[in-house]
Amino acid sequence: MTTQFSVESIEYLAEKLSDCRYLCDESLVYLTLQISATISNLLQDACKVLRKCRRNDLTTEDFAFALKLNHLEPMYGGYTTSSIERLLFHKIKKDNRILYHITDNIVQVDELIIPQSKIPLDISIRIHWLAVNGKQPEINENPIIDIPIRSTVLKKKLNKTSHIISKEQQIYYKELTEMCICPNEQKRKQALLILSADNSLQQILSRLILFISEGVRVNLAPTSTFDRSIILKYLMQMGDALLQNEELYLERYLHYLLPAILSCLLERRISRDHWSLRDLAAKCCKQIIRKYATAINCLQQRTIDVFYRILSKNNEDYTWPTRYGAFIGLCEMSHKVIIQIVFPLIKQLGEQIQLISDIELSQKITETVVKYVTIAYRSVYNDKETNEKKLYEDFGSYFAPLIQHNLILLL
Amino acid sequence: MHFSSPTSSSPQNPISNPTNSLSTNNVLLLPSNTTSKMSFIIPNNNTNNNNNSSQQQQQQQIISTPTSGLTTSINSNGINSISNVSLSSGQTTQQRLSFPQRTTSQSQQIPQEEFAKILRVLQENNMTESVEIFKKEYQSLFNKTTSSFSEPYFTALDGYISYVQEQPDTSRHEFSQLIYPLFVHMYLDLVEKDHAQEAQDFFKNYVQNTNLQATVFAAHKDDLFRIKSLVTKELIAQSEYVKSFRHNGRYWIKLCNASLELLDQFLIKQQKYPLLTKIVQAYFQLEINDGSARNAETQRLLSGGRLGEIKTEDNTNRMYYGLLRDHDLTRILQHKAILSSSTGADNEDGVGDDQPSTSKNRKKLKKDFFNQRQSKASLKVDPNAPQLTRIPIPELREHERMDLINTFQEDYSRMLKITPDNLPSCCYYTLLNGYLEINCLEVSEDSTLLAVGCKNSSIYVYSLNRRKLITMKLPSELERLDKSNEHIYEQMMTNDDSKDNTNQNNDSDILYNQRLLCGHTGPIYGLSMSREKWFLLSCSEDYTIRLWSLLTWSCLITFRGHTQPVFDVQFGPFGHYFASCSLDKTARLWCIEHAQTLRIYTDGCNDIETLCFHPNSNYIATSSSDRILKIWDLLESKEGQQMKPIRQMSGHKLNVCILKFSKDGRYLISAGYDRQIMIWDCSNGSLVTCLLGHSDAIFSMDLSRDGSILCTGSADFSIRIWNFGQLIKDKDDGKLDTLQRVTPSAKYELVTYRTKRTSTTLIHFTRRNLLLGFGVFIPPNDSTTKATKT
Repeated sequence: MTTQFSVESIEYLAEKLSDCRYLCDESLVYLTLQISATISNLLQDACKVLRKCRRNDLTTEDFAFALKLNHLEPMYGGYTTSSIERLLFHKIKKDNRILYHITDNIVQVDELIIPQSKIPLDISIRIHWLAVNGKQPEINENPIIDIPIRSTVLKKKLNKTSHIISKEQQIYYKELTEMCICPNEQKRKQALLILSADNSLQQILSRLILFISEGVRVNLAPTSTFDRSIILKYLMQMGDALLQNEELYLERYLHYLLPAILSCLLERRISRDHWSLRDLAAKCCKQIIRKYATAINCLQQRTIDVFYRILSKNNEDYTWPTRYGAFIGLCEMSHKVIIQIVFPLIKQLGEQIQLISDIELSQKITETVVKYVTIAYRSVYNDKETNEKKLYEDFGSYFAPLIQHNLILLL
Repeated sequence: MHFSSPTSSSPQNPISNPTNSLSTNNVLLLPSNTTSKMSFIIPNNNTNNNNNSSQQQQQQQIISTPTSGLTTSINSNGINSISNVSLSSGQTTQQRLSFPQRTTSQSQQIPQEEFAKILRVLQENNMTESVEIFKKEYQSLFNKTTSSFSEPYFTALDGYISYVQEQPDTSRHEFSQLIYPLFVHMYLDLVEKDHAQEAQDFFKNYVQNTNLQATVFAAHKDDLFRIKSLVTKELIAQSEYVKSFRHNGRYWIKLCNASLELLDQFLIKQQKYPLLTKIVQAYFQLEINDGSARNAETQRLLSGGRLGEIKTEDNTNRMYYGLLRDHDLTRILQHKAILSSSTGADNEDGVGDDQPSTSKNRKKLKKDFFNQRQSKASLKVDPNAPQLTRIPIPELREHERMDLINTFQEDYSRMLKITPDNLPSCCYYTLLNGYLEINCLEVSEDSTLLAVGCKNSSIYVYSLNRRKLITMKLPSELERLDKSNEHIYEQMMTNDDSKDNTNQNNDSDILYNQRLLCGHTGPIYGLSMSREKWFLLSCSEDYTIRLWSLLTWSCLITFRGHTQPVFDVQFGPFGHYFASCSLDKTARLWCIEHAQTLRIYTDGCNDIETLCFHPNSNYIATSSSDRILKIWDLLESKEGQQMKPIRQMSGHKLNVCILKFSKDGRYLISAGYDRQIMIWDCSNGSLVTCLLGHSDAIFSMDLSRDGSILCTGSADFSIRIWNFGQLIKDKDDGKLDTLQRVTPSAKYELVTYRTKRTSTTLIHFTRRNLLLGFGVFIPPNDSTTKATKT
């Protein structure tokens, strides 16, 4: 609140206003004190209006009010809040008469026609239910209450056992899930859009997550007959959309969601086109870790452990598609993970890949490995001259030439 | 009060170090290396008590002969004093700090040539080190001689603070009440005597002390800012704050008898610090509080007024806070209110009241209304109610009465009874695109009209239900109407049904209609709608109040009288009267039939910011910038006497935003920027309790129609609902802890509703106890800053 100007600035102003006549130091100090105090008083007066109008931001009009209250000439044209672009007043002085005027710009008609020109908005009123029978409905107009209110804690606990959703929400849930797994591409996209944007989903979120996790479980079971990978892909897309929704709190349901995603990522053999499914699952996995991993829940550490166990085992416990899943799961996480965990594994991996008889499989894996490793490598060693010897040392004879080739391409 | 523990502060205060200071009787060689002039002498139970007492003796010795000390030093200028200085060259400053009066008088006696002489002697003897020290000493002494003026102030206040420290815990807070006003008066004194720089040092020294900050100055932060900007004599002469602090009465302090005696001993009998005694005698008034010392918490709650607390005598006059039960309107309101809460408490209302919704009952009730009820009501006369004729109030007109009974019957019979298990629903009206443009809001009693006062001096009236805003017909058309017709009132209004068809597409808009009222030439600061929705009052920066007709949509009267911007206006509960308050430091009572002011209530030196009518229309409550609430009587005082408030309440630490009387008229509820909701008992002006819970300024407040639920809206984007009925019940049963007046929010808070980015500036219960919230949406910060930048 207290304003204090420096003597230098007052000196500058004084000289400017009095045509470069200098003031002595004493009077400057006195002036500074006076001006600081006057401004402070004016601000206090301006705050009277601020308080009266129940605002937080002081406007220039408030200051003008304070000037008027003290019988001083207000400053014209300093209005920052007017909806019209800031009006600047100009002063004309002639024969001791002062006149203020606004510059009246000529506005081109073309400019007005262009839809980008902003039209000042009028006051409008919007109505919504802030609370119904003591509870705040979860709609867009209401804030999401993360911290449970003290007085409603008891009720919430009771609700946990029998979480009842309304008829409308049941229909909403049914429609949404049906849309998500229907073959119609357009409908599905629409549904995914809803999942990624609507914050009123919180109510049925637990159901949706359960839908995904159950869906994955059923479709991964060896007994199911039809083409499972498409359904699984749709389910992963749902998960992906939910993760993109900024307004939802998925943390409480991660114990359902994450296992489902990891199953899709690491399953032995799913179907012919399983690569894209694994890619998508890896992306979801990455997002979960980015959003919810903390030092306390050790989420990242635990996930990495799972992947690392699969990759580091030398024997044939795991199939190559599973290894592929673990690999991209790791690679999607971050460059740091690639450098620290994946790099030491590459050499061994290269030796094993050479033993694969399936050409298609080995090609796919090699391609992916090279892609991720090159980018990560580039981010650390940014020098143009790649050390060939070091490359062979790090990545073995299988990958080193491929990576080197790609590095050159990246340049 | 919490002062720092002895262990932490004693190393910094070597004065209280027992080994050094007392072993030597030579005062001049008192070893100390303190740099801070502040010294808290904390009583250390064992050694320091002795220490203190002996030290006091020493000080007394010195102070007892201040005049002689002066004279001797004047006489013995020259070699005597010089040798004195040169001997104790390393310690002169420290001496000065502990015993300033003496040393300053010495230092003034050292003339320039003497100094040069000594310097020469020292240089001749090649004592380079001593030369330097001597120079430094001289310099510091010489410079300090100008600042010596402030020394008595420092010592006096330090002395008093250390005196407070010596008091036992139970009564220490009583003494510490004096610190803040003493500090302010001393600071102002210093500035007025042209010692600006020392005054700044003085200010900084005490305000930056963390102990004092947390205890003594906590309640006065707002004023401290103001004080800090007063740096020259001229500013003090102009300052409104100083006017209201110094010349608006004495600083009122309440103490218990024992403390007062001790204080008397200290200030008057001992006269250790004549400065303190002078200030206390000039500006303070001490009042004896019966019994033992008050609780520190209670005292903290009640502090905060600019001039201390309220004189108990000021709140002793009789206030008739009861309702006007004989007036038809009160009867209708009360009858229905009782009807809604008829389970249990008020069984005497008769059998029919228990099932109010059936049509048969309703008819019976209507019949009963003015016959049976009246007799019952008149049987028990409320001793606290004023006579109906005390303030003349117009009777209801017949048609009005019938209308009221009909509408209230409908609404009150369906009124929701709010209990902790049955919380109110809240419908929220968010005003968009209005931030920094909308100044104030007002909603009509029946919740159908919303008035919005804007910065650009226009007023908008919106219809909140889907009904169109009606307009009265032109006079020529009115003349043609048959006045004996039963539906005369409907016929007086224009029927725009034909227009409705063309505007069908507007139907989708929630707001069916809106009106613009133009006339003011400055921002609107207050609005008030009359109960029957005929009139709207508005007050503005242009010093005027305007009365608008909501039937013809035109301005009827402009009330002139205020000489500064008018900040608030409110209709009385029965209409007819209204009150306004302004920055010209007056509140005024008006009547819509006269253009002149009926009463002027002046408040000395403080702006009056908000006001509120008592439900019996006999009193108004105001809050002013000195943070004191005042209740004024509408009845004219005796000839020649100045209007004095009948009740005054101090306890808010920052400005008050909203005042409301409880529905039964007994309690006044106030809230504002200090986040406290304070509930006051009007019968004696005492504090009932203080509710805490909001984390920002409280802007709005309303009581449910049955008066049992309090609802507050705040700048922290929340609405809180409090069980006011339960609180009052507990208070009457004596369950409310009266000593610990702070009530934790959880005890009476029922629920919190949160908004996204809207601070609720108006909150309103409909007749059926549905909660309506109104607020202006605050755009997120980056966009506002962008707007200011462009």
